[in-house]
Amino acid sequence: MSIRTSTSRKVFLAVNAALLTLVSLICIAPFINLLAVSFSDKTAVAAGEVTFLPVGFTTVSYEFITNSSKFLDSLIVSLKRTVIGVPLNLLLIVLTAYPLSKSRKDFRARPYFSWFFVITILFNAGLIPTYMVVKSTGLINSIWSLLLPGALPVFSMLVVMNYMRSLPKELLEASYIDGANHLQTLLRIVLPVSAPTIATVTLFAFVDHWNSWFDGMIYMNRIENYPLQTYLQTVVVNPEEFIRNNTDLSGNLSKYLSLVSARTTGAAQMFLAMIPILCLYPFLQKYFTTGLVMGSVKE
Amino acid sequence: MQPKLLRSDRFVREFPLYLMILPAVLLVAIYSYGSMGGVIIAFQKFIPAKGLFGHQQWVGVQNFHTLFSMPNIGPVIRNTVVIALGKMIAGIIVPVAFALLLNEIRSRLAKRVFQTLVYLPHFLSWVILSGILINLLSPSEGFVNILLSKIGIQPIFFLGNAHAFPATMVVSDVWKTFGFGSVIYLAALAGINPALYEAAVIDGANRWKQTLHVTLPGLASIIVLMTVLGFANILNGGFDQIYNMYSPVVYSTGDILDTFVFRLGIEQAQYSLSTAAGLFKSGVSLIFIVASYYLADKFTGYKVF
Amino acid sequence: MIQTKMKAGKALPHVLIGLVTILSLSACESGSNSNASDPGSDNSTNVSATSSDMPADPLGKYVKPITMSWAVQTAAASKLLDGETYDNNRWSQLISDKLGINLKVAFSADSSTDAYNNKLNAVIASGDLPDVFKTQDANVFLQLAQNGQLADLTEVFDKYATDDLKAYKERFADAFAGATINGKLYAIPRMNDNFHEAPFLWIRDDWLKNTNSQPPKTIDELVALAEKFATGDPDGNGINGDTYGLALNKDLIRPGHGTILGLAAAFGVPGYDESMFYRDQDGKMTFSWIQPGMKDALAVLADMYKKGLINKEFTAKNESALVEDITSGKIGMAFGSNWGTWYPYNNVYKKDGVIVRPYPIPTQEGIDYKVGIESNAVGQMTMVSKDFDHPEAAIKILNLYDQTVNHSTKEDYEKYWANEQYRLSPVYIDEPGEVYAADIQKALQAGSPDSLPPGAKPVYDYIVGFKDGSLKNDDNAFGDWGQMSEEGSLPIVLNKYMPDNAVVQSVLGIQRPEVWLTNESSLDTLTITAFTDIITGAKPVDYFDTYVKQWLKAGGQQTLDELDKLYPAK
Repeated sequence: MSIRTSTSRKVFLAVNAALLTLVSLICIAPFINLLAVSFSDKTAVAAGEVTFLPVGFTTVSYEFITNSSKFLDSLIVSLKRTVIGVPLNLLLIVLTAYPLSKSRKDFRARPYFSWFFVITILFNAGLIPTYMVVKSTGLINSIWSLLLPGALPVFSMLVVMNYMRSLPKELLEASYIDGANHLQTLLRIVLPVSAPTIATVTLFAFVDHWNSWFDGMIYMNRIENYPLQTYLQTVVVNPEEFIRNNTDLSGNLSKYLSLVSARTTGAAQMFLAMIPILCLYPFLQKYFTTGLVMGSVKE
Repeated sequence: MQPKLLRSDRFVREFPLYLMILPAVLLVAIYSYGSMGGVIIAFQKFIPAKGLFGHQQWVGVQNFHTLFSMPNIGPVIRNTVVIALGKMIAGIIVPVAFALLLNEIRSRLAKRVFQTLVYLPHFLSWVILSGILINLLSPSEGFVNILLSKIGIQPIFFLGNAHAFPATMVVSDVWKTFGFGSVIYLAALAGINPALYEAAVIDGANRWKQTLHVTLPGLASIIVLMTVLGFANILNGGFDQIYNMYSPVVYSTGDILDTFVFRLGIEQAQYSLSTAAGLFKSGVSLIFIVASYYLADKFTGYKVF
Repeated sequence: MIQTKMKAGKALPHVLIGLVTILSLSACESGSNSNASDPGSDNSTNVSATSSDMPADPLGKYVKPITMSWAVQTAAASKLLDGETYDNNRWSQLISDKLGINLKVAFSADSSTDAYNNKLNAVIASGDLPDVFKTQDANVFLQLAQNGQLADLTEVFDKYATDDLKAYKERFADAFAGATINGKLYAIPRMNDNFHEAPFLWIRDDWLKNTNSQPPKTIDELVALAEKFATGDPDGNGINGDTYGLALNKDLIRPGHGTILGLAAAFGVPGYDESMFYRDQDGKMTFSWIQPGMKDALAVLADMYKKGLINKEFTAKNESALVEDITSGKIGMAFGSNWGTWYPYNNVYKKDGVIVRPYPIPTQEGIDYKVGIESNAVGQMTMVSKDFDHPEAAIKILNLYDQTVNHSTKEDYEKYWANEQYRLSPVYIDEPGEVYAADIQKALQAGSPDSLPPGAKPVYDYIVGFKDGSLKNDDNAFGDWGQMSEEGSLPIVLNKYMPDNAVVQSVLGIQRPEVWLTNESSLDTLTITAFTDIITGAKPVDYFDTYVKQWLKAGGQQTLDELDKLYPAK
């Protein structure tokens, strides 16, 4: 496309670039501000002096947090949850998507199973019934309450199933003719070629587990068992509480009382909670995009 | 070319498939279908001590009568629909506009940088985002109001003023989602046949005309699709977002069905009423979901399942 | 058991009968096994609970230790010291050593937000209650009692309570009556007087001094002082107007710090919380927040708000968030409850060494001020689950608590009560010192603690210690001083509010009309929203009349009618 750029076009391009820059800044500025606040002196923060650079640079908020058992406890719960939860999600997604990707000829019960799973997307039982089922299976206050009820993410499973269905038939038939059974075919043939989709749903599962907070709040009976986001929610709702709970009279934390505020420690905690997402961000951007496009605009 | 299978042969061949699917079936049966059975308490005067399977008093639809005679149920439904519709409409216009503008950028690097920056909020939880927003929107210390006061505008209580609250929810939701929402439109833009543009240029169309007559028609079907699918969420006001930012002061415009169900069930221990409200939401949503999926198929030939 | 199965199995195929037999056999076997391996638990039940002819020992130790699960209310107040945990701390050790009761935490949640309440309701929904747990919510208590989920404590209290506790029962008869439904005691109520719940005006010493002001006696003086605080430089940092006049929090009418309760009181509105019902002078059942005086109070607040004398963003601040502004020194004046020197003004004292002091609420000329307090029948209830085999254990712990805190050495008192450590006991007697406020006044005047009951003596020592400087930096000393010394909050009630006949008590006990239970939360919201809108100027002051009409229509009038029958005039 070779169009000679007219003056009006040039003006448009300049304005457009400026506009997009502004929009991008609006998206990113709050996080830069958060980072700046977490490294700033509390009086500067309270006076509203901190914008995008720390004022009175200090790491005292981070020191305070790393001395707080509550933050560390919840971080460990979240790590545990992610480390067990993501592979569990993947296992069930693959084990379910593969049979459902078969034609009706190869797996007669397929349509019934498909509906069995799809109905769970269409109809939600609601808060109290779900709680009572989790309770009656004995999972309350156990990390499994965060893992088992959502162990099969149905949407992700459908994405993988659709992908597997689009694989060339010849590929699988060749494998069966070689005498491979279903499991061997799945492991040796289907999984390797499905790698991009698997990567996508892995990231879905990771972001889901890392960002969930409501289940932790409802199912966990002890604050020590809260996952990170649930714990952060309590900090957001009641910022002052964190400071008070961590500065008991005898503890050495009381010396921080005059140095940190709910704003600075809150910012530091939120920033720390963002780090895993930021680390995976390049992958998230790449595979989420392919996954989203694949899942939504399939032909 | 396959020989006809005997019943037993067939079973032997299919048996591993059943085994594979079994764990997921069991978990879904317990946690999804088990709780669907639990909605029965919406029709009972549920007393927890007797247990889910105990002998509970059957009251029919009385809980629904009580529910719909509550003074705030009307506003709650209205708020839900208003906020959800607002998010839906803005959630289409803004990403489409952004995709169109981004599409005009020729530098691949610049494009990439813009995308990287605007996608970020999408991946963060509402817990973190609301923590950030509460600080940013604070009337006296918040950055936004400090900016406003510099240009001579009185501070606005975005989260504490019933008039401003729904708009704040819609705008902050758009802020979180528009960048990532534009992905799908960018993909559709990339899929438009370049020959169409060339033909338009030969017809003497400028960029604006090209956008009007080539680009937008090229996006039309995906826009229709996203609109139709959006109706499936007509009763989803966004619990995570609103729960973490609302307060009693803005209940009149900010309380949605999900927060209402939560408060009824967990804060006020009205288990049957709460389940009835949840069931109402699920039932109406089901109709909208099925209808929207049907329309999506009819208008654009897109099958969700 | 096998026999009945066999009979039932007659019609079943042989295979099934065999299966059933095997299953029931193994079930019986495992049942008897567990009995054999665990004889102690049954024995101790027999000894201490079921054998009625043996005298019960109020502080007897279980031969075979029992386990009791309880719900922990975490909050600012329940600090853990010396590396203790909720599972293992001074109280859990004491209770285990002295009584043979092993405490187990069923759940823990923050009681300064909705978290504890929410968690408890979720647990109630699941039908699996902790053995011992607390609630402030009269509705929850009533519901549980009526559903038969609570242990009847009538007998075990009579049998196990020490004479001291029985004396408390007489002294706080109203509270015990509130915990009694159909003649059965279903909870250990808060044993305390409610008089201290009245509102006070708290002002920073240094701000008064810096602005050369006197504590306000009238509402006009209050507004004038707020103006000085808001527009001048009371904190002396060289900047005018970076401080607030009068601080509010968004809950407005819920007891705590930053309420409008004190201001409403000046206009003859005895408000306490969202559910304050009482009989007016004519004996008519009425509701605090619809009194005509409230309109005038709101007009004053709206005017102050317009002039910028109230913190602009109070609608976004709960009490906890307000505390940050208090600690950081932006707030110098707020209405608040009696415990201000315990929290939040202890933070100010610790940080800046500045005392924030309670004063009687300012009054309005020509109007008899009224302060509202809760009914004695409501308040924190400590309940025992019906499924707990040892309800007497709760009474034993209460005995141990009373003995340890109220009749023991100063060391024990400091270890087990001070720094809010008493909250680590699953059952406790609420803030024992306050009960003795009047006694302590006399002792302070006499200059000798000799006449005081044992439980009040440590309080006396703290106050004297704070005054003579020996306990200047002790949190407990500052707390007690601001609450119970001559300069504290409680004497204001004893020496002013009560003699002025200003105290009005809510009639609303545990029994509540259905219409109120259903509509309570929407009516609460209506009230708080209307008041907030009027104060911030979103609605004109005349909107108050609309609010009153709405409130009456949306179930308020019906509630008043039902309450009139439920709580007949004496």
